[in-house]
Amino acid sequence: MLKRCFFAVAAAFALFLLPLCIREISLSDSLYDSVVSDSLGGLPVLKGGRVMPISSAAEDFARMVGGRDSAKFDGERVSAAKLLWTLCSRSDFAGNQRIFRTDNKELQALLGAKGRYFSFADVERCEDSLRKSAEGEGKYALACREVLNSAYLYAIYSESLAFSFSKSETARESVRKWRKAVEEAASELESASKNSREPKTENLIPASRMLKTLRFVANAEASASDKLLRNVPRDGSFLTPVEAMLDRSLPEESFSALSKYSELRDSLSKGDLDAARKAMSELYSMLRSDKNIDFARLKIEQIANAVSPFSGGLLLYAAALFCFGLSSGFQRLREVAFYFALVFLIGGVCSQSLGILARMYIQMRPPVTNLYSSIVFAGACGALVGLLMCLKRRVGIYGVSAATAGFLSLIIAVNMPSGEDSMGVMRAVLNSNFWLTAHVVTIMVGYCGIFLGGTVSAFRLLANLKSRENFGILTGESARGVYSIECFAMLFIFAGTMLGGIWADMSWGRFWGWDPKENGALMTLLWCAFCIHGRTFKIFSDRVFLAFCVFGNVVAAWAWFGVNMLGVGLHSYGFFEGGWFWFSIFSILHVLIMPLCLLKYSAGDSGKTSA
Amino acid sequence: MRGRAIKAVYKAASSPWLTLFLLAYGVLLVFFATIAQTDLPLEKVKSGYLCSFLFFENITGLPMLGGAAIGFLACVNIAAACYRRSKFGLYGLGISLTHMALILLIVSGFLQSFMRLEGVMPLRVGETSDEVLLSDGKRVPLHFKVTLDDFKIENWRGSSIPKSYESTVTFRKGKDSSPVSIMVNAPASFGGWTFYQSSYADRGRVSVLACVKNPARLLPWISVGATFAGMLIIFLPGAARKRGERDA
Repeated sequence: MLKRCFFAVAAAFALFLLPLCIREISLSDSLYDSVVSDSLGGLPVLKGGRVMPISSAAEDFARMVGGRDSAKFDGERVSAAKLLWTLCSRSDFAGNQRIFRTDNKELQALLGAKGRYFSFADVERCEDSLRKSAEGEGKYALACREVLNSAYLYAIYSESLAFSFSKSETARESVRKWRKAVEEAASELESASKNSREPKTENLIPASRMLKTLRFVANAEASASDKLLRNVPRDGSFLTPVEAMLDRSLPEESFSALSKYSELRDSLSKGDLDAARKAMSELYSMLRSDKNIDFARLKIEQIANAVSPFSGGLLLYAAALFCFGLSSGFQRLREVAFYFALVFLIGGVCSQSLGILARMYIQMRPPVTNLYSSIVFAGACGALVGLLMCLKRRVGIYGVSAATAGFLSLIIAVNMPSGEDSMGVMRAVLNSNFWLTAHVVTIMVGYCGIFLGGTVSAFRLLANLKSRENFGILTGESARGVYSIECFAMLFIFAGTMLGGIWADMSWGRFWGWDPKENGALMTLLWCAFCIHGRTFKIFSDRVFLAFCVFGNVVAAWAWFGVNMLGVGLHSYGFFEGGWFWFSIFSILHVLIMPLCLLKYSAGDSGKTSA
Repeated sequence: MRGRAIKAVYKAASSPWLTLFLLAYGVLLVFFATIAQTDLPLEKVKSGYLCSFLFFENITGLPMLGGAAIGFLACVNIAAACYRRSKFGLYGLGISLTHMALILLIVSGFLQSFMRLEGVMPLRVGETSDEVLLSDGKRVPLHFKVTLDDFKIENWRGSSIPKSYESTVTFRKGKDSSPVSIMVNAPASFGGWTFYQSSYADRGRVSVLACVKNPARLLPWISVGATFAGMLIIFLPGAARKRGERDA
């Protein structure tokens, strides 16, 4: 028993660490990605109002242009941090790498893509054609606009960590030249003013020319203000290198950081890695003396990026589902497989919870702040409640439902359209930890109850197809369990919806406004009440009750995702496009399961409700 | 004969089938009202679908019972069913409290639909106003004056994402004046009106305050609190009882 326990826990731990091991073997370059020592990926940048390690910002960028959090250079996979630094230091090399991706076949043909991937040089070559097509409407025009936006961000990011006036000049030379030119111009103006004469234009021209270039770049940067990487610290905030160069009263420590970043870029550009390591180490000691930068939090984020607890959780849930399958399919393995499945499930819940806790610490926010975190949180809650019920009742169907809830939540979260920071700052109306906890977390716990109840019901109806043995007894047992879950869900959805009403009354001046998101919550509440009343009044049999609970998943999915896809209402921060296809598939699958409640009981089993 | 008819009506009104019909129909009605918002303005959806007794659905063109009819039938059904199935004890108290509070919630929604006034007051810094602009273009005079002393927008550092808006206003009535700060999620009340920080215009030079007069504002708060208390009474002792039975 002890041996089996040890082996199962060791296997779970190995699965948890598998994503980290794969990453270390395939991607890791200690200069860019080390989490044990200082690395280029761990340097702080300010993006979209949040200070984060460069590795996080780089992963968002890599996902936006290439759909993955890494890229390929000459066939070799590199981390996002290395991609970003290479882009800044060796723009000619990076410009010819196929790091951009489009799924539009017509566009792939135009750009001469290899598969779905193409380079920045390909975009430059076809720029005129892309701009022309982007003005139209339809899928092709949309794809062109997406490529142009990605290329624009690429161009801005190529000067994001250090700036040089021309390709033939190093970043350090540019910073020195600019400082010298500004000092000369200032001294000429001062002297002219003292001597009451016109300033000599030849002493002003270099600074004026450089100022023109810097202002041009600053204007281009301003159009993507929320996506810029600001890396030069200044009085508790950060500036881009161009903003820092334009700052007339830049403090000496900020200028030192700007120079060090320039030195770092030049070293990487020359391929002098020892010099780069030295510059990085000096930069770290310089930044660590700044009390406004929380390096502990940055380190946690960098570790979370590397360990990827959600990927580990995904593997553990998949392993749990596999073992539950073995347990029900092979009589000889029943007990051992069930035991392993439980250990993997516990591991999955722990791994997912660890990821959520890390996000809470990094953001200093409640677990749910946007659609992404709501999915991860609801999945974790569903998996936890299902696990507890499985441990208590020793019924595999709760374990299968728990693992499915966790697995699906992580699959959806990992594949959600992104490129944006999933831990972004909160807009004014949402900038309240109290209301986020009271309303959003409460209602998400309710939704997770609905999904867990619906999933258990669906699995029970499907399991009835396979075996008619103890058909009525097992259905009755499941119906009792699902009834408890639905009551729990209704309590939380009601509390969450009404707390949302009070929040709306506090911020918008009305308790209820028939906004689509509010309507979604009301629909879920009414449907939950429908199922509970139908069973309480003994109008529904166990099977019919389970079938209606399965449909509860469709209603809750509509409230959670469907209304966001409509694009109307006050909850605009949750809007997203696409997803109708997957929502339709989800709904159809659930509706197809419902008629299974019409299966007849075998003799000896009663069809009456056992509530 | 009359007694039998009343009995039949009472039986129908308290029928669990009617409860189930109203709940399922409510889901359908709210679904249609949500979809309709993609084509129609919210006010039209409210008056057409949710505040009417009968309406013609926008997509199918079929006649349907409106929200007012469903609300009325729900009140009748809840009241009749609670009376018919009323029980003594803690569980019965929970059931009665939950359902009576739900009736209060529906009634409060009905009261608010004609007691509540909502409008906006856009103000430049230093500007004073004594009227509220309603959504239908009418102006409602106030018996006091509102002056915007200052308006601040704070963005998250290094971004254009707003972190907070704050209007500093002074309410003046006769010789009395009271300066207050109005922020998002932190409204201020004066003279029966409540002022909310709604939005801003003209690049932050104009602060837009939402102004609401709602004598029935606290009714939904009370009713949802009572409903939730009732639900706790129903579910928590039930869970405890089940645990006790299992332990035994």
